[in-house]
Amino acid sequence: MKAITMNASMRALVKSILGAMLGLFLGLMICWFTGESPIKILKILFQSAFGSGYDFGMTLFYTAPLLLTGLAVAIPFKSGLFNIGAEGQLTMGALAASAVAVVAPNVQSPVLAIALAVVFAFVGGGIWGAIPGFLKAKRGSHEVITTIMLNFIAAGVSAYFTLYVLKDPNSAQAETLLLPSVYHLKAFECFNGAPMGPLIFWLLALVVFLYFWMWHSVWGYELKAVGENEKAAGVYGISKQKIWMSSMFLAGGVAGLVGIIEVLGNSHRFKIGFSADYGFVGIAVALVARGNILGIIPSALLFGILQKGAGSLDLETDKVTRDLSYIIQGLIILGVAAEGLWTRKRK
Amino acid sequence: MKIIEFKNVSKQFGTFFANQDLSFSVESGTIHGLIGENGAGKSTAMKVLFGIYPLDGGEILISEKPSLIKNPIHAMSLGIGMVHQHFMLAETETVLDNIILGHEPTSFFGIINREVAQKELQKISESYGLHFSKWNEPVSRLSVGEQQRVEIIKLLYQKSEVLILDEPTAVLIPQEVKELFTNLRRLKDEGKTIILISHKLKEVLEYTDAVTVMRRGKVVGTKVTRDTNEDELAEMMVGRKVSFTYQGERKILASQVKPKSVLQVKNLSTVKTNEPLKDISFELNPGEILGIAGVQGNGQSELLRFLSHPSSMASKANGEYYIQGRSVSHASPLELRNKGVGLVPEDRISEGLLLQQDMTENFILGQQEDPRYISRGFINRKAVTAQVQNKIKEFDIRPPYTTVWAGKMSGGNQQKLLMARALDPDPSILFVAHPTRGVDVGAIEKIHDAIMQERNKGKAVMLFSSELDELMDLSDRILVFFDGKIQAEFSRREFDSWDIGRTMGGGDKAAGGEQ
Amino acid sequence: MQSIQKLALVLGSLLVLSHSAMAEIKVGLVLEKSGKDDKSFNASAYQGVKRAEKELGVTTKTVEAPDNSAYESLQRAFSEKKFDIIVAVGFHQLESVRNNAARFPNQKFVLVDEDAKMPNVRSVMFEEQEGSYLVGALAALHSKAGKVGFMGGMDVPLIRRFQLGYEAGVKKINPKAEVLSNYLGVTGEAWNNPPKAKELAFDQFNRGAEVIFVAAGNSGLGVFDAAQEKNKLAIGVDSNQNWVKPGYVLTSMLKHVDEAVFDSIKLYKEGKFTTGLIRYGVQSKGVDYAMDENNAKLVTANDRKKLEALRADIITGKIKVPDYYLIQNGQKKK
Repeated sequence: MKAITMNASMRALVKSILGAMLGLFLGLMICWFTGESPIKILKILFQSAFGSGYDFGMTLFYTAPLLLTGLAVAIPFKSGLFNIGAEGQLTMGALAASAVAVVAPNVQSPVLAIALAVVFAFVGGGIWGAIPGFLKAKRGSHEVITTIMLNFIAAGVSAYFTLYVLKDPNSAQAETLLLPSVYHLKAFECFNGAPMGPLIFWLLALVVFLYFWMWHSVWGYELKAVGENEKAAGVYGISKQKIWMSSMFLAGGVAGLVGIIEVLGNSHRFKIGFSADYGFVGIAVALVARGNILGIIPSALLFGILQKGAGSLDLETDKVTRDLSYIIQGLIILGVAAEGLWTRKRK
Repeated sequence: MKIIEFKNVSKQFGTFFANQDLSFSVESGTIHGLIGENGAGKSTAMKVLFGIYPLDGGEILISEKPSLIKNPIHAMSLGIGMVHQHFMLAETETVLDNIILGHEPTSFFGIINREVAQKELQKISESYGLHFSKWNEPVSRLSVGEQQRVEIIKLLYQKSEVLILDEPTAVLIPQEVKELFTNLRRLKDEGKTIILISHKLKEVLEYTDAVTVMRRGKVVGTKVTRDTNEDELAEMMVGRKVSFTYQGERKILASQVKPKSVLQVKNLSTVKTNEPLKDISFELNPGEILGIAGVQGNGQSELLRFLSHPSSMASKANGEYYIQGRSVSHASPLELRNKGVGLVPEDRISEGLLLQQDMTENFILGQQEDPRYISRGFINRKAVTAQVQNKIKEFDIRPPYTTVWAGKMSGGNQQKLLMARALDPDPSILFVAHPTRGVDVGAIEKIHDAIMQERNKGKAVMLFSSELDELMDLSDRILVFFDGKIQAEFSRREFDSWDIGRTMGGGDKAAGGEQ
Repeated sequence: MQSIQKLALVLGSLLVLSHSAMAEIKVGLVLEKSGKDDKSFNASAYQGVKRAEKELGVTTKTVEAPDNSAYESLQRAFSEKKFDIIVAVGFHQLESVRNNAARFPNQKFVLVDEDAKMPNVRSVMFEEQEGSYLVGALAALHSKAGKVGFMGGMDVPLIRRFQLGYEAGVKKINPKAEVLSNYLGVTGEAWNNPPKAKELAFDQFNRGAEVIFVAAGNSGLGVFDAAQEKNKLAIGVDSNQNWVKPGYVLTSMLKHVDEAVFDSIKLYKEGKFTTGLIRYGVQSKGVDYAMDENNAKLVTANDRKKLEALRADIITGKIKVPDYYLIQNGQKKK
């Protein structure tokens, strides 16, 4: 009897992997038609992801934001909300993280400085997530619409702050002041210049923690109940309004932590357009993980590898460009989404 | 001639046999009943016949020829049609378009010739005496009975010889039921064969020519209808003798001799005048079952909502509500639960269950903060699972695995799970709504037993039901609702279905006495 | 003996030649996200590299960055593959070029549009304000009512630089002229939103503008459409866009990225490669207004005479074109 559920969740995972493999296979078939050997493409992707300390560091650098945005999509999804707004949330989180330099330029302790930046990033993104949560709870506004709108507003707000309030006057670019060194995160030496350090372990720990939190806490249960049957949850006294607002706040906050990876870990300032569409790829990450919180780890890694590999494909081959990576990403999403079709048919 | 014959047909889902070695046959030109409890495998068998599921063993003969039915379209081409329990109609499209979908008569260039189609439909409708003419109305404007007729006409239009109807009367009011069977008999006279899936013995006995009984995925037997009776069929269905009236013990309790109420409602009215509930006052005593009767839509649902979730009605209703002498007029469900209130909601699917979660997860809905199930701030699923295992034994919930999804359980077992959950904190007040709606015979007994046991333990029970027989069987008192008011109150010795029925229709209780 | 000597000489020189052919020059080009098909800045750099491939016989490889974090690893990959020159296009690459120039001190870099201030980087910058000044003057010459428009992609200092030079050029011809200006957006979409550009152009035309200078990448196409529909004029940017709507594109403010890239590669081949900041202005015609058969009828000989006079004055320093970058730094000092 226990075996039944184990099988069910295992089967979902296996199906997801099969779907992803199918997508990858189709993508490789496409390059075969263009005259590049699929084996070579696989080799390039592998080399690009793991070939050297630097490459691996860069892969993790691309994976890390996807862990967060994957969570930012998967968590509200369990309460029945589709968060398209992770991009705006991470923008606001990063902007807030870069603002600590102005708010508290003279912090001495690195621990305090980083804790402060984390709070800023989390709250900045969290507020941006809580707004659609609030509108949904109080006014019934559809979260897909409001989160998309807020993505644009975040772009506008961040551009305003970057260009007029926090602007680095020495730079011709759209970027904020450089953060004092106390705010800089260390990168691993062995990554040889790739901007990723112990932070990756903290992020993995966050995923694992949220996995346990979602499953074992009363809040996680109520979230699931609302997502599954909001009417029944209401009959038994669970407030969907509270759940929606809190889950969107949490999601926004987690997405906002992308700001820590970028602002504290990488460029040490906020730059307009730094995100490689992490907020949107996060939707795909959550989809491939099938809402399983732990599944976000391999799923984010897969998309991180493909993002890292996009430039390498361009570099290492004559005919294939970065677009192949996006085609493969798309086919993987299709493969996973379509999996429902072919497994249902088999029944 | 045997138009349909099943020979050792099996259908498996995983390791579970939904159908095992089914063998029976249906004579051409008859109405053939297929009965069994929920989950007995009736619908699965018919879905195999209609090509929705491939069969895993045995064979099906159509007009005495072995046929491998590949899919529903193939089944239709073999003259088999099915009306599903939930109609498969596009609500916003017209009746005509719904019927001709997939079989459109076309002129040149694939243009649909609706006039030809309408003429043909009119002809079908008249020749079978179905009296239907709303071809160009959108389906959404039709009554449920009319929609069903559209489904039947659709099958006739597709030239089906065998019509499978899955629980056709579940959604109909009595007049419509009568009309349906009049129509079905006419179809039979015209040579069509009808397979009727049902779990209502009375209609099967009244309208079919033969009946096949299924239990737990197997055929128990096939009977000629006029040679059998309700008791025999019921025994075949359930596997043992069943009675149709409650036979359990009804204790006489001290609290009934000297009532001291645990729950009072005073002058409850809804704010908007067009909404129900007008000046409701009543009391509930321990050790009694208070039945709430009435035709659906006369305020019972709103009353239950107020009683079980007063805070959600805060802006919509005025009135006083006391439990054990304390006001709970604005309480949340959680506060009520802490005051000893248990609830079995009206609609188990939409209000009671998380269909894609297992029994454990469903069991803690509403009691996720109960200290028994919390350790160190987190939900202790081991404790919950252990308790669910106890309840599975206590209530005979099937299948007896805590990991089964609620959505995969039969209605009766879902209802048992809801009862088990409501009773888990040992409430002193219990609200039970429609506990046996769509539930099979075996489970009904179990649920009625559980309700009566609570009463006999001295608990106060309110029973909301649309089945008058059920209310009269169990209740100590009945309040009849009509137009948002308490139209009449009956004590057990006054129970009379004719009297109660009249007050449900708005008549006076006293008038009955004079007649 | 002599003949043998001659033979040896010939053979020897052949060897040298073939050796130099074997050690051919390899050029790696790293483009911005918008890629080689942006019909503008990156496209221009790509053309420069392709021309070098054809005319100088160098080997080239072009990559388009998939995102703004990829520049560093792409440049680095070129460096590790022992490419001779790495050309990085766009101010977004400043930081990554600086990092890699420090990491690979023997590697030569060309950075377009920013000053890396590194010993092994040739930084190429354009005096966009000067070219803008000239097209501004031309716009004013074609506006009887003294109303012209400016449309920028995103409000970033670089585009401000265009705007400031343009306005100065307009005022030089007609001190009372009015310049309407709009920016298209705050996301990357600003460079790729022709419909919005078209709407804003309609608005500027309706308010009386007769010529609009658009510095907004791909979005400029919308302004050209609007000019055609309203029978007004537009001015293109970066590469020669006169052909897009002949008769409605007054001129284009050319930014000869292709020339700059080609020149850098050529100098390297000739062994004359220098690092440090190289400025391209109206003097070297690194920035210029475009003339071809598409706008020959629009721009009169008289117009050209006036523009050439202005060019001469800029070169001699008689005219000081305001530079937003300097003003911006001045602000900081205050």
